[in-house]
Order: sequence, then structure tokens, then C-alpha cells
Amino acid sequence: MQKGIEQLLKRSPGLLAKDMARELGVEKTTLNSHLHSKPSEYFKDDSFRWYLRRDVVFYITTPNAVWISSAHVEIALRKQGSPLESKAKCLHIIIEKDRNLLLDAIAKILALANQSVHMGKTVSIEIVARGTLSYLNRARFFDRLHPDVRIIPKRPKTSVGEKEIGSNHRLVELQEIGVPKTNVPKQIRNSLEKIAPDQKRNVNAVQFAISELVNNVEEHSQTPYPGFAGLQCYGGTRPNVMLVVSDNGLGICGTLRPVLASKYPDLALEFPADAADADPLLIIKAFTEGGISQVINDDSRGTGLHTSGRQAANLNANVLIRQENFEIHLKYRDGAHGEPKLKLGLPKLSGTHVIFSFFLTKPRLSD
Amino acid sequence: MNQNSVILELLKFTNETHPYGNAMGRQAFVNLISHLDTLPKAHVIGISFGNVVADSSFLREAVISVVKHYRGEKFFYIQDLDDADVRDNCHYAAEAKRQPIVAWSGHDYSILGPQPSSSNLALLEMVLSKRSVTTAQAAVDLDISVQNASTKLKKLVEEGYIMRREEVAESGGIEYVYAAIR
Repeated sequence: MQKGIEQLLKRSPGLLAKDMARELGVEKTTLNSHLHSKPSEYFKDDSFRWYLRRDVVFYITTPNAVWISSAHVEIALRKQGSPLESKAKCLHIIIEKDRNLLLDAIAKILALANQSVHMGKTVSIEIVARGTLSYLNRARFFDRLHPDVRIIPKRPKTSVGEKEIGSNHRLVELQEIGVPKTNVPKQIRNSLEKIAPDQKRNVNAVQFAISELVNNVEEHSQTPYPGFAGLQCYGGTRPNVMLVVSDNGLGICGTLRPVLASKYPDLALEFPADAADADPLLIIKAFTEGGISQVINDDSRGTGLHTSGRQAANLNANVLIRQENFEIHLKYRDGAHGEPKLKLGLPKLSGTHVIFSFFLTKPRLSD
Repeated sequence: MNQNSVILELLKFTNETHPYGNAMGRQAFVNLISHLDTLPKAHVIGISFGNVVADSSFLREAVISVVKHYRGEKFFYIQDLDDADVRDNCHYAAEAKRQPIVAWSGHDYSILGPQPSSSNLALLEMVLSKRSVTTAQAAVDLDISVQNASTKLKKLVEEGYIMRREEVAESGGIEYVYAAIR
């Protein structure tokens, strides 16, 4: 029976038990008993539809470290494939218990979940650790998560109250981009200013880096589900800051490519679309040199990404730019970046996810 | 300052100490233009940054676009721009628009945006430090021909670095005076 179930679910994931029983010519109760006896093999969604567990479960873990980072999410994507490229109509994300989530990992998990819902999948996230659930609630993770995503064991009923927003300055809640009359860059600046009041240059640099990225999301990304920005300070002997700006839109090259040949014919020749590394190299050029914009009738545009690049240099930041199928890593030291590292041919994650991380020069953070 | 010279507090047109991006910039542009159009006699306009901390995109769409909008008609300068990072942003915004503007801090100045050619830079620095010169004075001070000084000064005016006004010369005729925008 097991072989028959495997074949059926491989061919038609998401079958009801009664339909499988009919196809296999067995009693429904017998089939149900078998399916429930092997939770490591089969997965049932909220609509009682069955899947091969390996087809729908996306398990995020780290074998040794306590913190799950963006890199661990990428490892999961590489090993298990992107749920966004799977035909399964269901996605069940499991975050291993006793693990903490870094902001960069949170951004990618949110993107995977929201984009999967947008594709019409049934999505659930299993977060067993109470501490993680509470932290994510505090970070307004659930406000940024599509309401149709089911949380196991339970989605917190209320997210953090309005009064509490901004009260914990080490964490800037994941702020939705594009909400009228909200100034996300200013909120993030204010928080960092309270944590590190003596670091004016860093505070300015963070504001400008974020504001240009937020502006790009608002203007160009065409994100079908709202983007967000957030910042987290991590303590320890050498306090460091991570900031994230994330959207689910067309990606930087998704907006640049259509105009490249007509607006920048030289660049179109220099970065031919069929070359594997052309898109990341084009983004690096825009980030480090500027002057490239998708706006057709205005040659003065293209300062946004470049301003972010200048701030990365000011902050001596590590910068990660994740696009649909590749990732760029730029490491700035002494105001200049070293040889960029490219990861090409990655599993699909739509949108643009920019992550800055940098050390504060101050030995301690304010409370 | 005379009746043709006004100073605008940028904050009054941004309504926000930390404006950002193109959308806010375009709104500030509209606010500035609406106000300036009510001041047809205002010829020299100082933009006081005060506590405004803005990014390049905002400054390009707001401040620099206004300067370019009135190029040759009204002359702009910046003051109270003490934050080096904001000054950098303004520089890149001006560079993107190919519209220079001078930021003053007491007697000190920064030329933001595109820089003049090296051959014109010495002349520009002379005008800015002396505040105004005639062609003849410039020619003597830089030891160049009057013709050459005149050509260079005109170019600096055309490019938006300085302004030119007519004054009555000691001889009774009209002479051009090239002046810092301030």
C-alpha cells in the first residue's frame, strides 16, 4: 500500500483519503490508519489533504549554532529546494525548537511564506519554542505575515500594542513600507540613536541607507505583498547591528533590464542578459557607482542604490543582496569593498532582500 | 540682504526633520515653487537647512530641482548645512542633476555638485572669496587676459556657479560685476 500511496501522492499531491482509498481499492479506515501511523512520511493539511512530507515540509535548522541566520535558510533552500518552485499546493515551514532567529533569517522566512500564499499555497509555520514565538510577536512578524498563514501551535491573538511600538529600542519592529504618513527610516534612526547616542555618523548612515532602499521599494518594486524594514541591535562584547529592507517585488534587475538596452546601450552590451553573472554585476555597479535607474525620462536618477552603497562604506558593513536566483555579498572595510562574492543559481526567492550588518564602535549599548 | 534676497527655512517646506525619497521630495518641490512664485522680485534665495536631515533622493527632487527650475532667473545658495553627511547627499544630488550650488558656512564655502574645470576653479574660488569681481580685476589677479577672464566668468554664470549684475563703472559706463550667490 505504501508504494501505491507514494505513487499517487507524487502524481497528485493533496489528495483526500477517500479518493486515495478508491484509487487503491482499499478501505478508507485502513488507509487512514496507515497514513496516521507514519507521520514522518505523510503530511495532512487543514483541509485533510495528504502530501508526501518531503514535498511540503520546509525544515529550517542549524546543527550546531543557536542562532538561525539567513545562511541557514539558504542551506535549507539548497537541500530541500525552494517551496516557490515546488508544485505542491501546501507548505509547512518548521523552525527547529531551541533556536533563535536572526533578523536576516526572519526576512527570508517571511518572504517564503508570503510569496507561497500569493502563489495559492496553503501555508503553515510551526514554531514550537515559546521564546521564539514571543520574540516574533514583539517584532510584529505576525503583522507582516499574510493572515492566511496558519501558525502552529497558535498564532498570537494580538500583536504588540501600539503603545509598545518603539519601546524596545534594540529592536525596531518590522515596519511595513508604503503606509501613508509613516516615516520608517526616521523610526529606525530614532531607535539606533537611543541605543547608540554617541554614534552620529552611524546613525546618519543607517538612516540614509534605509531611506534610499525604502524609497526604491515604494517607487519601483511593484511588490504584490508589502515590503518591510527592520533593525536589531545585538549586544555582547562587540555590539553589532543588523538592518533589513525586504520586498516581494520584481527585483532590482527585474525593473532595470526592460530599459537597459534603450536607456543604457553600453551597459546592455557590458552586461548581456544571457551571461550568468551579468545581473549581479550590474547591481554591484549600480550600488557602488550609481547613475543607473529604470526611470526613462530622467537622467538624474539612480542615486538611491549608490547612496546606500556609500553608507555601506561609511558603516564598514557586510552587505547581502538577495535576488530571485542569486545573492551578492559585499564586505566593506576601511570605506571600500573587497572582491564581491556571488552565489549564482540559487533556489527561487522573489523580491529584493538587502541586509546590512555592522559593528558599533561603542563598547556597550545603552539600555 | 536686500529686498531681492530672501532666506527660506527648508523645514517649513518639508514639514518633517527627516524627509526621504522622491515622493516627499516632489511634495517639497511643489511647496517651494508655490511659495517662490509669490515672490517674483526675489532674485537671490538662501535655503537654510537647519535641522533637516535628508537623503540624496529627497534633496535632488526638492532642493536641487528647484534650483534648476529657476536657473538663470533666480539664484540659490545653501546655508546652515552643518551636517557633513547631509552635505555629501546634497553634493551627489546636485551632481546627478548637473546643477551646482554653493553651501556657505560663515566665510567658508563648499561647491556642491559638478565641479568646474580646473582652469575655471581658480577664478570661481576668487569670486567666492572676494564675493564680487569685475572682469578687469579678475584678469589682473589671475594674470590672464581680459578676454580670457570674461569668457571664463561668463561660463561660470551659465553653469550656475555665480551670478552677474550690471553696475555703473567709475567711468560712467556700465560694467559687469560677477558675484557669489549669497
